[in-house]
Formats: sequence, structure tokens, C-alpha cells
Amino acid sequence: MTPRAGIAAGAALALAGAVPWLVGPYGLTIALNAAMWVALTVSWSILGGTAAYISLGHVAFYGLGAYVVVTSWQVLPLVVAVPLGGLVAGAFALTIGWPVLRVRGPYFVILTLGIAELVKYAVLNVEAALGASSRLLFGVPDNRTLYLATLGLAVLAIIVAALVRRSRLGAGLVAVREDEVTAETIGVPIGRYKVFAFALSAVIPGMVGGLMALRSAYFEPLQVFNPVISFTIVTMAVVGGAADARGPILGALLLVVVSELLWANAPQGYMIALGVLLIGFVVFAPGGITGALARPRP
Amino acid sequence: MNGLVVRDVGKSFGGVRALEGVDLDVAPGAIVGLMGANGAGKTTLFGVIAGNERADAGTITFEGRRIDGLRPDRVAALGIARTFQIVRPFRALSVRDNVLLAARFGRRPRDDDPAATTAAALADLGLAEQAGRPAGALTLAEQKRLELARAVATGARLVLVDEVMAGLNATEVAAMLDVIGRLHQDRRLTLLVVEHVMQALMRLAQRIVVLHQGRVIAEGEPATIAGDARVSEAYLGAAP
Repeated sequence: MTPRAGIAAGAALALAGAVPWLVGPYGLTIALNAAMWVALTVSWSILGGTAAYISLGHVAFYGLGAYVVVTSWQVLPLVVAVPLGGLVAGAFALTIGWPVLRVRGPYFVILTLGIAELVKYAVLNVEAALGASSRLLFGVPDNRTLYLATLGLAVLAIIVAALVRRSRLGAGLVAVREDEVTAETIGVPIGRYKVFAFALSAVIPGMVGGLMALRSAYFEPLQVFNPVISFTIVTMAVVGGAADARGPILGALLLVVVSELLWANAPQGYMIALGVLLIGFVVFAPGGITGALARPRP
Repeated sequence: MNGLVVRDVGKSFGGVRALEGVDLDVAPGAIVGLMGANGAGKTTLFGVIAGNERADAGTITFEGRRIDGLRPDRVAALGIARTFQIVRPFRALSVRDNVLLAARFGRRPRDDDPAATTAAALADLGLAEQAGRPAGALTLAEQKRLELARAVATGARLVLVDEVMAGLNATEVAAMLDVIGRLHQDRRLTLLVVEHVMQALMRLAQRIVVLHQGRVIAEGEPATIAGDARVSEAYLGAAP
């Protein structure tokens, strides 16, 4: 990072940290949304942006993290429960990673989507068997605390993703994106790398899910495991341009603004806008905003 | 036994026997040529040695270690690299990054100065000028050299060279022969070379092995092979 970029990043972080004292409750809600989506999308890009394995099932990690926090509510302190949610999500990714990451391209997309639905219905059935179709949480932390925690996770995600991109792991994952057969032939342990990156990309979403369960103070599997969360992550990454480290941050922030404008003025329009943006970018600018900006270089 | 030792290797794809009872020895520092018509099993043999394909039968050892059944990255870690007949560059990456990736992975123990290794490999293969260009923008002749640069940069001691002269014109073939000869000498590489350009192989190799329908049908010095009736039959059909 250049000194100027470092100062800019520091200023942005200081500003983001001061948000709860600068804006009202509505502004804080938007800031919380932004921090959440940045954390989710940047984490997703640890595998999706480097190796271009498009997971459409990241809501499973988010939901599992939420479920851990909800089921351990008033049993475990939150400083334990939230990280535990992340670990459970990571362990789940590690478990399904070996078989799932053997398929690639559209098959991987469909398989991850299917697994997330499977997890959703599994949790739904467990809850039904327990007679708890939905749960209410009393005495959750206020939005200011949740925002700062989520912001911390967003910053952590950005740091982890940047470290991965600079490491041998990141280089190997880029080789996987370019040509998997060549990658393993020149010595990249592709299986291990993909599974590790997948697990790494699941941990922070698990923790974010835990925090968001506290935010709503309410747990309902159909809502927490809603596949729209996965679609939104992928759309944000594609719009920003996942191959570039800044892309997922840019895409997440941009779509948070778009969604706020639409919720206020045309609530039905949000999903339509998401779809149009996704299709538009995939067809006309597959590299996203960052990719399109980088292109003019010959 | 040092070098590469292939014993009784077989490989079938469905009902088709691509390799059957193949024996092959490549002594350290040697250049061995592998000849055969299309479909003779040359590329399959490369795939089996490099770990891209799994042999159904037989054993392969390299420097005394069994390598059959190992994953490609494990084989690469032990010091074997291959090129691809149908070139497989990382198209969107620069030529330099293509080679740098090979230097950062490849053989173990890992290279402690991959940037220097990359620069040396690019210089040896005459690609230093192209280093900043995307690999997909290179000509075929350059992409073939990139295949070699990447193989060399892994730090391999044995390089399996798969038809790097196919599709090149006479001048390019001569240049490539020079390059391979120098790589062999300067880097003390052991080479197993598949080539359709017969004269090229005759000049390069100290020993030639001929595959026909998945079996070894002849083996010997280039001059002997050139006069072998079975070889001309396999290539040109039976004499009338």
C-alpha cells in the first residue's frame, strides 16, 4: 500500500468508526447494512474473487452462525458465541469443501445453492421438532455496539482477503482460475488450496450472521437462510469486480446505496434492480466496475 | 537406479488401450526422444508420468521414488515438469506472472528467489522482451517457448517436452533446437522429448524410443531407429 492509500484507508476507517456519533438512528441502520455487506462480499471474494469459484450458498454460513448464536443465547457469552458461529461455519465449509470443490463452473454454483437450501430445511425441521418455529431474543446489544462489531469484521475481512491475495495461496488460486490443469501441473496443491480458501471465506460470514441475529432479535430460518442473501453477495461482487481487491467493497457500498434509494421509493423494484444489474454487468462488463476501469490500459 | 524408470505401464480409456506394457528408462542428464504416429500413446505416457492421468498397471520411479499414482503437484514437487502439446498458458496473466507462478510452486524445497528464477527462465527462452504482455497475446511459437520457460522455472530436473516444435516454421524449429540444446547443457536437465519433426528429434536425442499403438516397438540410437523396418512400417505402412 502506498503512503497516500494508507492515509486514505486510515481516514476512511476513522470516519466509519465515528459514524454512530455522527448520524441518527436511520443513518446507523444504513451504516450497519454497509458494514455487513462489505464483510460478507469481501469474505466471499477470498475464493470467488481469486479462483472464480462462484459460491451461491454463502447464506448457509451466515445462517449457521446465526443459529449458533441463537441456540446458545443466554448460555454462552456473546464474545464466545459469535466467534463460535464463525468456527462452525468454517468447519461446515471444510467438511463439504472436499466433495463440493471437485466440481467447477456452473455445477459448483448449483451445488452450493442446493446445499444452502438443504441446510435451511434441515434447520427448519430441527426447529419444528423442537417446537420452536421462531425465536425471540431479549436484551440484545444496541445497534451502536452491533455496528462497531460488524465494522470490525468488515475490516478483518478486508485484511484477510488482502493477505490471501498477496500470499502463495492467493497466487495459486489465481492459477486455478486461469487453468486448473496447468496449475496442478506446475505444483499448485489445488485441492487443499480451494478447500482452505472456501473455509476461510465462510468464517466471517458465520460471525456476521450471529451479529445479524442479534440485530433483528428474532430468528426465523426462512429469513436467516434466505437465498436472496447469497444472490446479493454475488451481485455485489460482480458489480464491483471480484478479481480486484477493491471491487467487492465498491460493489457492496454501491448496492447498499441503491437499495436504500429503492426501498424508500420503489420497494418492489429492489429485486428487479439486483437482477438487471447482475445481468447487465455479466454481459457488458464481466470484470465489474474495477475491471472496466482497468481495461483502457493497452 | 537414478533417473526415470517406467515399467510395464498400462492405461486404458474405456475400451481403448492407450498404453500397454510400456518400459522406458531415462538416465540422468540424457535426452531421450519419444516417437510415434498420432494416437501412439505419447501424450498419454506424459500424462501418466506427470500425474495428470493414473496408470492402470505398472510402476514409475523417479530418482528411486515411486511416483505412479501421485497427484501432479506432488510429482512437480519431486522435480518433474511437463509442457503441453496444446499450449495451456494462463492467458489473462502476463508472461512474467505465468513463469513466476511456476517458480513460486514447482519443486520442493521451494525456490527462495522466484523472481530471479523467473528472469533467468525468461532470458533463456528469449521471452524477456515479452515479459509484460498477456500470455494469450503471444504467437504460437512464443507460447511454446512459454511452456518450456514455465517447466524450467519449476526447478525440475526432468522435463517432459511435448511437441514444442509442432506448427513452427523451419527457422523457428532451428531456433527451438538451439534453445533446448542450451537448456540441456547449461541447466543439466534430463529431457524426454516427444516430437513429430523427425529430423529435429534425430539431431537432439541420444536415444529414441518408438511407440506404436501403445507399445514400445523399437529403441536405440537415432541412426539405428532411422533404418529400422518396423519403424518405417509403423509410420508409413508396410512395404509393398
